[in-house]
Amino acid sequence: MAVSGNLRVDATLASYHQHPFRSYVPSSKVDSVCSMNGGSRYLEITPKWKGLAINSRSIGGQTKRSAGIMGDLKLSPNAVREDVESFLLHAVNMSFFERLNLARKIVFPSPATRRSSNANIGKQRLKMILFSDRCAVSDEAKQKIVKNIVHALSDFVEIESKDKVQLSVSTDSDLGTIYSVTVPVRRVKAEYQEEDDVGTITNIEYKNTGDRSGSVDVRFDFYVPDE
Amino acid sequence: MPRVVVITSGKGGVGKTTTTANVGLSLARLGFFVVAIDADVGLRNLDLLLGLENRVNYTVIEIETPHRIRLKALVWLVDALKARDERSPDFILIDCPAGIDAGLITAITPAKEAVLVTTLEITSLRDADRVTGLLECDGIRDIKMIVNRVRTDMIKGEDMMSVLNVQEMLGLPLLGVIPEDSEVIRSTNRGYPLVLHKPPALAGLAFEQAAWRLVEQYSMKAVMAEEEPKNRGFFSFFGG
Repeated sequence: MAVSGNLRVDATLASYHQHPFRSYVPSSKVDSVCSMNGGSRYLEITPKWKGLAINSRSIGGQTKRSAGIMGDLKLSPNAVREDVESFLLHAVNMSFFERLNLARKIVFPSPATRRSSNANIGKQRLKMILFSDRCAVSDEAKQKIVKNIVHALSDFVEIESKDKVQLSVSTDSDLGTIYSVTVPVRRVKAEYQEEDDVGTITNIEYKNTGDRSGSVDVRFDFYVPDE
Repeated sequence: MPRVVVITSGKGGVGKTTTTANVGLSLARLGFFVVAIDADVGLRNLDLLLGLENRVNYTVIEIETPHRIRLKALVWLVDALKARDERSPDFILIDCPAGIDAGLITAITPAKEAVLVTTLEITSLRDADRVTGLLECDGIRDIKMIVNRVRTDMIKGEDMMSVLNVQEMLGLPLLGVIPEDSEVIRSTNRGYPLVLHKPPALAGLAFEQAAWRLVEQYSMKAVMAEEEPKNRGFFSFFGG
């Protein structure tokens, strides 16, 4: 059974052990999680030391979270043994200010860190997968959708070429699945054109005469129907 | 009229058979007459979970049914149970095989309700969503979810998705949340079902609650306490 608690463990270089390793962690209530399964002690620690090239073994994928704090650090996520000794040396050599900064980052994680946590990444991936699985539409349906859209639009516009109409299905992080239909249009049909309004602006020319003069030349062309 | 419930999941190994055995036993302890059917004819496991593997006399393949095709044997069996002269069962639980092939389609034919077992991993959630689509296509609208093998320590540490997230994404009512418990493995090995333990195991308690919700036909709400509060003030550091 998994028990979550606070653990402060003394630093020993357990290089003779394949699996469990113990390392010095500040007694932060937030991040030390020890799950004891039966007999074996299995310590999961997120080493969040800034600026340290840690090749850590990913225990339950904890390394991704530490990468968030360390910024550009590239971690190899799969099973490289952690170098406890160099980690400790670096920790000892950090100045007080660096440690304080680090402690602040651990206790109050920035939104960027929380966003790139494993759970959030999994959630985003799952959302995308669920959307694309749920909205997978057959080719036959795609043809029919295109045909119907072309038919509906051809009442209003003249379509350039029926073969060039394309339907694409994509996913967007905010909206979910997006269907886009691209229709090349030659021109609007006569009865729907906006020519009947007198006084609409058909052309605008804009000349910037420079900053010194403080004025801008703009020329508007108005539509006036011929009698 | 018996309630015919299929326990399915899509993905294998998430705990369908464990759920069938334990929920079925909890229902029996509540006083209902329960029949549990293992619909995975080739790879049966329900007998192991219940400790009855030495007492298996016949499987459904060996019965002579009026239908020549063995696939319909399950439907015939459920109908025969329903039409019993003496007391007919109150619950018929059907433990489905993994996958979405013919085995599953056969198994869900006689049922009107479904319990979907899933874990908090992206793989089983995706498969659960597929199975939901399949169940709804086959006319089973009453689908409830049991989330199994939950590790609250990992949820707190933002390594595992929370039950709340899953409920939002899959959109199914929640029947129960079962924590990860090593007692499950021990009781499987001994062939002594989990819910019969004294003192009760955590997962066993959760199964009993899920069984009671199944009887009463209501669902639970995922608890917010699993999630970290968004704004942690300075003093919460001391408070714990």
